[in-house]
Amino acid sequence: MKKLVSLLLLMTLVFSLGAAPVEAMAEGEPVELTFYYPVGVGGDLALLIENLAAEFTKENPNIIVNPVFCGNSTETMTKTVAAIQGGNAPDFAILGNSELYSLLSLEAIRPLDDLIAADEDGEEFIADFWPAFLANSYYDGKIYSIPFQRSTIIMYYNKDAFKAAGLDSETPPTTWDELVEYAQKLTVRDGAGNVTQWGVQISTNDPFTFSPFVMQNSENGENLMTADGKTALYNTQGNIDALQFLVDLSQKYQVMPEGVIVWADSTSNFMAGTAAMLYMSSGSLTNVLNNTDFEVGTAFLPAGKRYGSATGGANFYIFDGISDEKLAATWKFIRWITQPERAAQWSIDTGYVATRKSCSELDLLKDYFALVPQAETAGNQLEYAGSELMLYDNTRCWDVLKNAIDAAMTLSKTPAEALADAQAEVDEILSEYR
Amino acid sequence: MQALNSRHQLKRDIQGWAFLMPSLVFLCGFVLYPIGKAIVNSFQKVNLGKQTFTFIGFSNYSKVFHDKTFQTVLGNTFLFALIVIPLSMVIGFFLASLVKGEHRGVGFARALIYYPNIAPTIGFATVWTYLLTPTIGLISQVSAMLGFPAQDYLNNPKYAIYTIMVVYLWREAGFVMIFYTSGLQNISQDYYEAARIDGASPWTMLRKITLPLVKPTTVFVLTCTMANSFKMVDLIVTMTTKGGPNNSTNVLMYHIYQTAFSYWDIGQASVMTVVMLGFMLLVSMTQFIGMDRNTHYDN
Repeated sequence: MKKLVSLLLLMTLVFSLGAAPVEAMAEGEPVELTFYYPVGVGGDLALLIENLAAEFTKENPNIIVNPVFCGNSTETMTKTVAAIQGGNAPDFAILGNSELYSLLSLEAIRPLDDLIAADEDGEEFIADFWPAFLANSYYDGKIYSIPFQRSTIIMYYNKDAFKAAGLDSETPPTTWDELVEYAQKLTVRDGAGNVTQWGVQISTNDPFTFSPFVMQNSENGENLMTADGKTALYNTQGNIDALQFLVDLSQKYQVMPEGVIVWADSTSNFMAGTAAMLYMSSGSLTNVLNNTDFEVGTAFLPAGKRYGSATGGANFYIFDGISDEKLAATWKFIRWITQPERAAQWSIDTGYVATRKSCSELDLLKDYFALVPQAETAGNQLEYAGSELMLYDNTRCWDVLKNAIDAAMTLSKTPAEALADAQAEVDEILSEYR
Repeated sequence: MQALNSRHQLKRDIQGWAFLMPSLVFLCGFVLYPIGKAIVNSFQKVNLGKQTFTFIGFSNYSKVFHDKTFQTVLGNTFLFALIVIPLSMVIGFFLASLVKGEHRGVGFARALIYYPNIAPTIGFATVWTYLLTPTIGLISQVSAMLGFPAQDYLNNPKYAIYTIMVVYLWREAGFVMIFYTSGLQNISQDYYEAARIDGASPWTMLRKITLPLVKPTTVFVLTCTMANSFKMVDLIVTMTTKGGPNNSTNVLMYHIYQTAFSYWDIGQASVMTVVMLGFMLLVSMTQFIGMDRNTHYDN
C-alpha cells in the first residue's frame, strides 16, 4: 500500500514537471523576471507586491514576474550587492532612492533615457512624477530610477492633547516659534517634576529628520549636499543654527526628552499618549491611525525661514547587462505598476505618497482623502520637499552626520564643533570622488 | 617485509587522512581560506560590482589607523572585554556555588539562570529594549516611582555601553555558571571535611582548595568568555542605533560588518579583520602557553 502511494506521488511529480513547460510552450517562450524588493514600513506590503506581480502576469501571460522579498531597505541593498558579486544579479530591484551613487560606483545599473525616448508618451510619463520624488533619480543628465514607494516627513499631533492644553486642535503650529510655544503648553509634568507628556518628539538619531530643518533654515531651500553628490554642506551657519534649535528643544525649552531619540521610541511614545507632537514618515500613517485611541491630526512641518521636508523611500532600478527581451518586459512592468490608478491604490493600501501628479485628480484618491483627511498632508507638502541626504559613499557620510547630531544632542560637543568635525571627516571621505 | 610494512603504513596514513578529511575541508574552506583572503584583500581596493581588485599597498592600513572612529571602536572593544570578562566569571562562579548542590529546586534554578543562553537573542533583546524605553518603559516607570530621574540608558553616550554590558552579563553569567557548576561538583567533599577538621576558614578553603581545583575550568571559561566578548555583536545590532549614540557602543566586530556591508569597503574591513585576527591569536597563544603549563587536568 505504502509503495503504491509513493509510486503515485512520484508519477504525479513527474507528470507535473513535464506539464509545465508544455503549457508554456503553447504561449511562446515566456520571459521570466526576478526583482528584489524591501518592506520599509509595516503592513502587508509583501502580499500586496505578490498580488500585483500575479495580476501583471495575468494580463501579460508571456511575462512571469518573481518578486523576492529581501527584508528592509538596507538588507535588500546588501542582498543585491551580494547577488551582483556572485554574478547572479536580479533583473531589476526596488532599492533606496539614495543608493543611486552606490549603485553607480558598483557600475551595476543602466540609465533609462533610451527606454523613455522609445515610448510615445515617455516624456509625459516622467513629467507626471512629483519633482521632489525625481530629485534623486538623475546623475550627469541621465535618469536612473523611477519613483515607487515614496514617503516624506510630516507632523502628527494629538488633537485631544491640544484641547486639554487649551489649544485649537485645527490650527497646529506653522513656525519654529509656534512649535516651541505649543510644545511648552503641551508638556505636562507631575507633582515630582517628572514629565508625563512631552510637547514634541523628533527622532534625532537619523539625518533623515535633520534634512527638513536644514531646508527650513536655508535662504533658498539649499540642502545638505551639492547636486552632483560629491560635496557635503554640513558645516554652514544655517545648519549650526538648525542643530542648535533641536538641542534647545530638549535643553533650553525642555519640551523634548534629552539625548538621542530613535524612530521607534518616538512613535511608541506618541501612540501611548506621552508625546503630543511627532515628526514621522508619512508611511507610518496607517499604523498610527490604527493604534491610537485619540484623534490624530497631521500637518506640514513648521517652517523656519521657509517650509521644508525630506523625501525618502525606494525607486525602481534596472540592472546593467540584462537581455533586450528582459529589458522590454521590465520596462513594461514598471510602466504598468506606476500607472496613476495603481499608484493611487498603492498609496491607499500602504500609506506611501502617490508618486504622480495625475493621481490627485482621481476619484479614488479624492474619496479616500474625504474619508481619511490626515492622508492628504504628505502630498500637499511635496512642493516644499527636497531630497534626503545623498552623497557618494552615502552610508558612511550619513553615519558621520548622524554621529555629529548624536554628539550635539548629548552635549558631548556644541553644534558648531560637531558639524565642523563632521565636515572635515566627510571631506576626507569624498576627496576620493573628486 | 619492508615493502609490506610501508604498504601497511600507507594504508594507515590514508585511513587517517580520510578520517581527518571532513573537518579538514571545513577548516580550510571556512577558516583558512577566508583568513588568507582577508589578508590579501587588506592590500587591495575592491570594486564589488565589476569585480576588480587593485593592489594599493598599505593605503588601507594607514586610512584605518588614522580613522577616529576606528580608535573609538577599539577603545570600546577593550573596555567591554576588560569589564565583562572578569565580572561574568565572578558572577558565574558565585551563581555556580549557589546551585551546585542537589537540593530540591536547584535544577530549576540552574535552568532559569542558564535560560538567557538558549532564548533567542532577538527576542530578549527586544524585551530589554522595551523595558529600557524612556518615559513609558518599565525601568523608567519604576525609577520614577522611586524618585530617581528617568534616564534614557540606551541613548545616552555615558550609559549606553554599560547598559549593553548589563544585558550581556545577564546572559553570559549563566553560560559561565554551567561550567563552574560541573567543575565544583567534581571536587571531592573529603578535602573540605579535612580542612574543616583542621579549622580552616571558608575563605582559606576557597583560596587553597576550590580555586586551584577548578583551575582547568577557569582556563576554559576564560578562553570562552574572552572569545565571546570580542565576538559580541548581536546586542549591538538589536539594541543600539548602529553602535550609537555617536559610536559609544560601536565595537570592532560591528564596525567590520558596517564597513564591509554598509559602506562596501572590503579593503578597510579586511584591515580591521586582520587586526582582530592578530589580537585573537595573541590572546589565545599567551593563554595556552602561559596558563596551560601550570594547569593540571587530574580528572
